[in-house]
Amino acid sequence: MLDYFLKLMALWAVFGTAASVVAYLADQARLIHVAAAAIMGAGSYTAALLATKLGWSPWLAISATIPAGMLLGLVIHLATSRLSDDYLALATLAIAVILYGLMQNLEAITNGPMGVSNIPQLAPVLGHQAADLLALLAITAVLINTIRKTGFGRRVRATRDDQELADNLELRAARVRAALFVGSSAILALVGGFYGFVMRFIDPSSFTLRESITILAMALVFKVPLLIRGAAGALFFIALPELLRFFGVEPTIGAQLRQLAFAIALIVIAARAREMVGQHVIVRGKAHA
Amino acid sequence: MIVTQWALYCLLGLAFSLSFRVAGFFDLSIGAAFLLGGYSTWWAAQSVPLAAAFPIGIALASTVSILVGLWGVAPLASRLPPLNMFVVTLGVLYFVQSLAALAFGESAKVLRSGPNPTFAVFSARISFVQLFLVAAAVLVTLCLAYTLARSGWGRFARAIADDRHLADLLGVPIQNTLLKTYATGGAIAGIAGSLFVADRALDPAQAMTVLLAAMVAAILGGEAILGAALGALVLACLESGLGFVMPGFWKSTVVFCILLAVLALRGGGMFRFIRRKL
Repeated sequence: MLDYFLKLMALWAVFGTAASVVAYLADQARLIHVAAAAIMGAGSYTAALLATKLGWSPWLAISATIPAGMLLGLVIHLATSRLSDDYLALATLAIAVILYGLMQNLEAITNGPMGVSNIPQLAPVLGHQAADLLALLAITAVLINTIRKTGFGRRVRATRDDQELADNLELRAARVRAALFVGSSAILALVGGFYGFVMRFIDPSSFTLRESITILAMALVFKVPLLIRGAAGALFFIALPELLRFFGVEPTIGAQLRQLAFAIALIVIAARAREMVGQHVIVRGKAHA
Repeated sequence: MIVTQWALYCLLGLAFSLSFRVAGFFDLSIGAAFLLGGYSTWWAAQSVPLAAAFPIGIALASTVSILVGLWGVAPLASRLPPLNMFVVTLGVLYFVQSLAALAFGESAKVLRSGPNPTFAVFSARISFVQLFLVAAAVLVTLCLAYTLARSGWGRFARAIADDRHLADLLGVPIQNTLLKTYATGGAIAGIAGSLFVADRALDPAQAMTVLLAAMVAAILGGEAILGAALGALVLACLESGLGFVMPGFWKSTVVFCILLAVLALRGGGMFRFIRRKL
C-alpha cells in the first residue's frame, strides 16, 4: 500500500512539474504547448537508452536529458517561430505526432512498440524517488514563480501583450521565445527522464498526443496562483481515476468514466473561463499579470 | 484508393474548415459528429436494411450536432476566445468517445460481414459504398460551393470569416450564422462517419485519427473553405505515394512533417489563389 501511494506521489510530481512548465508558457507567454508528453518521451528515451544500451550510470543518463531537451527546444522554436495562438497549438500538435511516430517506428533504436524495459533503479538523493521528484516539483514551481518577477519575466509578459511594442523597445522577442522553448523543453525532457526511472519501463503509448493534451488540461484546469497551478491540476487528474478504483469500478469502465469526467471538466472549465491563457489586465491604473 | 481517401478527407476537411474559417476556432467536435454518424448507422443497420440505416445515421448525427450547436457551441463561440472553444470542443469529442466506448465497447465495429461487392473502373476496383463516399464528397463540395457563393447564409459566413467585428457592426446575425455553420459541419461529418462504417472498421479512437487528417487537409488547403477539398487531394496523393517509397507506418509521421513545414514556411496554406473566392 505504501509503495502504491509513493508511486502515485512520484507520478503526481512528474506530471505536476510538466504541467507547471506548460502553465507558465500559457499564462505568461501565451504559448500553447500540445507536445509536452512527447518531449518528456524524448527525454525518457534518451535517459533509458543511455542507461540500458550504453551502460551509463542513471544519474549521468538523467543529466544527458537536459542538453537533449535544449536541442529539441531549439528545433521546436525554429520550426514555430512565425506562429502564434491556434497555429502554434497545431504546430506543437504536429510535433507531438512526429515525435510519437519516431518513438514508435525507429525500432532499431527505441525497440518500437515493445518499449525499453529493465531500466535500472535510480539511487535516490532524499531517501526515496518520490521525495526527489517532489523536490523537483517544488524547485520548478519556485523557479517559475521567481522567473516571473525578474526582468526576463517582465520581457516575457511584454512580448506576450504587444510583440510589436516589445520589438520597438528592443526586448528581442525572438530571443525571449527561443529561451522559453529551450528552457521549457529542457525541464520537460529532464522530468521525462525521471519518469522512465520511476516506471522502469517505457513505451510510446505513455507519450501519445492524448497524454500531451492531458498535461495541457492539467495546466489550464484551475485558475489558482501559478506557483501551485500545475501541481493542483496534476493532483486532480491523477487522483480522479484512483478514487474511481477505490469505489470498485471495473478498470475498463473506470477508464471510460474517468475520460467522461475529464471531458465534462474540460467543457465546464473552458466555458466558464473568460480567458484561459495569460492576458494583460489593467485594474485601477495598475498592470497585473 | 486515392479517390476514396480523398473523399473521406474532403468531407471531414470541409466540415473542419467551415468551423475554422467562419467561427475562427479549431472545432474538434467534428470528430464527435463523425463518431455519431458511424455508430448510429451501425446501430440502425442491426434492425433495418443498410439503405435505410444511412439516412437514420446521418439524421441522428445532424440532429445531435444541431442541438449541441444550439445549446452549447454557438452561444459559447460568440463570447469565448478561440482557445476556450478549442478546449470546449475537445471536451465534446472526449465525451462522445467515452459514451461510444461505454455503449458499444472499445472493439471495432464493422458493418459488412464479407468483402463489399465491387466493380471495375478502368484498372481499379471500387465498391458501391466507396462510390457513394466519392459521390457524397463531390456533391457536398459542389453544394457547399454554391451555397457559400449564392445563399444569404453563405454571404454572412464569408463576411464573418473575413472580418467578424465589421460583420457584427453591419448587422450580420453572428450567432444564427455560427449555428448554421456548426450544424452544416456536423451534418457533413455525420455523412462521412455513416459511409465510413459501411466501408471500414470503426472504433472510438478512430475519431482523432481522421480528425487529424482533416485538420491537415484544411490547413494545406489554405484560407478558403473549399481549399480543404484540394488539401484533401494533396494529402491522399501524398499518403498513397509515400506507400511506394517507405513502409506504411511512417505515413503519418511524414505527413505531419509536411504540415509543420507548410505552417512554418507558408502559413496561409498551399492554395492561396482561391482565398478571395470561397
